Amino acid sequence: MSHDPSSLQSTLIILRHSLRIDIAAKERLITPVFFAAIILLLFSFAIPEQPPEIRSRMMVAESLLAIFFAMQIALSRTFEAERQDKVFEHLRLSPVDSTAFILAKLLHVLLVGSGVSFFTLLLSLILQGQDFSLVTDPVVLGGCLLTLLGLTGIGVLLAAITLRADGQQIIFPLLYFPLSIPVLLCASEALIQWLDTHKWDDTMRGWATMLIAFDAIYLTMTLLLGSESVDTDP
Amino acid sequence: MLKVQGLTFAFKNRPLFENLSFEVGDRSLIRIAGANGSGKSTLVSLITGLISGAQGEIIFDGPNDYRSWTSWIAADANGLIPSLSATANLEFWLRLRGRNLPNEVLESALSDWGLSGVWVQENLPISRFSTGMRRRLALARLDLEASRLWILDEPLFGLDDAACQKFRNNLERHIATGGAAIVVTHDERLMIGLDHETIKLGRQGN
Amino acid sequence: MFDKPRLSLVATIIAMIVQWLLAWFWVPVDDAQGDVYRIIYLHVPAAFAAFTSAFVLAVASILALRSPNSSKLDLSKAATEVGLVFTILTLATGSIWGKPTWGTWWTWDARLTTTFLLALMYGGWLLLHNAIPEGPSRVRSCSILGLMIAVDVPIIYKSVTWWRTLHQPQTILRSGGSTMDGDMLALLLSGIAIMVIVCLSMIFVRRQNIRLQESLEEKSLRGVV
Repeated sequence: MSHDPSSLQSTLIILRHSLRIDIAAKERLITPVFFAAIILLLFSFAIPEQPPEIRSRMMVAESLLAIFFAMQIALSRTFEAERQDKVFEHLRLSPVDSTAFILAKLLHVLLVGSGVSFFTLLLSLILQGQDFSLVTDPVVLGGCLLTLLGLTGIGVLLAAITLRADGQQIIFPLLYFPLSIPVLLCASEALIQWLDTHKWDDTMRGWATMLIAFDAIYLTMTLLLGSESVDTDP
Repeated sequence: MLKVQGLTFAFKNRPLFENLSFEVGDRSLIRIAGANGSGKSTLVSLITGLISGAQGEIIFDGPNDYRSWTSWIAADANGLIPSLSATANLEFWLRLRGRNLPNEVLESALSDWGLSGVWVQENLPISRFSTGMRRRLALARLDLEASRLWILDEPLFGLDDAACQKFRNNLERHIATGGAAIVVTHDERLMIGLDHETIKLGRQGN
Repeated sequence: MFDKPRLSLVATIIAMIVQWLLAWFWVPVDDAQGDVYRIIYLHVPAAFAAFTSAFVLAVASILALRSPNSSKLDLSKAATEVGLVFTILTLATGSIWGKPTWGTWWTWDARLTTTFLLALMYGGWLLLHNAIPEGPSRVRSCSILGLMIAVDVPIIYKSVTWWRTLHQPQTILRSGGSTMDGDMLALLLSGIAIMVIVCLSMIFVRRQNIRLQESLEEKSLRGVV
């Protein structure tokens, strides 16, 4: 007689399985980075050469936007595997807690997103002739991670609710873009402030606190409401 | 292990069935029959809990979560990930049910259903499988899940004669060893020689 | 012939017209801006109505989420549609007001930016509603989105306000403000109250419309089958 796995075990099983699907179909990992590279290329044409004092600001803005667009590609495919062949329905009829499923999806997007963002940031630094030391700056990395948390939170929930929409590929960005603005705004302001002064002053602390608060709100909403949205219809 | 009482359901204002009652105990085999669109798949979805909104009661009688002792097969889908191999697919679904089976067991179950050889079992993504091969993989999963109650919607879909025969034998063994099954099928042959009860859906005189 | 919501709508529309006439002929001219400031009596109430709709959307969404199988989206849909109309009205009047006072049709002022985003989100809600076939999952998805929009409005407002105050020290003329004289303020407040009631009545009338349409569709379908 076998026992049902605990919620945590289920989460890990689904997470492992999702990563396995990524590895089996590697273009799922490559397309977001590829897309980010194209965005960075477009920026280089659209934005003229900047004086050195605001170059770091542009770097932050461009990198965050590239990450944001790359995440859009990754997020809109979050539930792709489950949509086919009634995998979703089979999951619902397996002894798995739907919160465990959403949590696994969040962790999966976060893991993939971290990889994608790291490469995007690196690429952005190279293309804009910046110092590599930025990638090892814990504040910059922490800022990127917090951005990623917020984008993942809102993105997974939106991916779940647009699951059964016709033309999900179009509706998803239409909702994801405006709703993620607060996260992007706080993150870019905090990072610019940091790169300008390298000091933890009040402004910096304010933006960082707000970013963390938004992340918390979005992640909580996703965990609470996400499992609601993955139920099915006739 | 399952009791359906007074089930009434209308879909988009079209009544599908009214006051439907039946009981599934140990060793019972129930066949659901009816014309296209008579609500066979809807009934299955209601029983499994995939959809809700019906009047009446569906009571599962068994230990804890009914999903851990119930297996389901859909009419037009197998619940398989196309980019993964047969064993990777099996492993995932079985682990979710807490069944960490050794590789040899998976391999022998697959071979049982005519899916033999390392290449077929472990290397080929199942997107390369034919319809019949995918169905056989889903049925191999059904065997390995070892659930007490099977809820199967057109399980023979895409199977050849030999595979149909094998499925029939498995079903007979499942019932004989104390299991139960609800099977939607319009293939009479599956039920020949099996003691069963038939529920016919569809409006009277239609 | 006239049911309650419709009657209250007619009554408030009359009140609104009276309020506009007062705004046009009775309140004194603003010293700094001249007659153009009178648009405030449409702009600010419209903005309040737009945010009131978001509140109604939130309440409707929470109610719908509590029992997704039996609830309908009629109230949420009505609130979103009416909200979209008022956000567009707010943006249009803000823009018209901005041209003579700021010298430009548009500026990324915190209030305008938030309203702009609200319009996008209302539009997104309606798109999502259109894209999902009817059923419990549409109720769930749209209600979750409705709740998210309502949670997001204050968040966006807070972050954008802070962002603006950091980057654009008080160069813009703040609409309203504490320098208003008593008559002006009283008229503005009554205008807001009237517009909020107009908005709520519109939502309820629109909800009745939607319900009527749905029951007509159901009846005609039943006739065919």
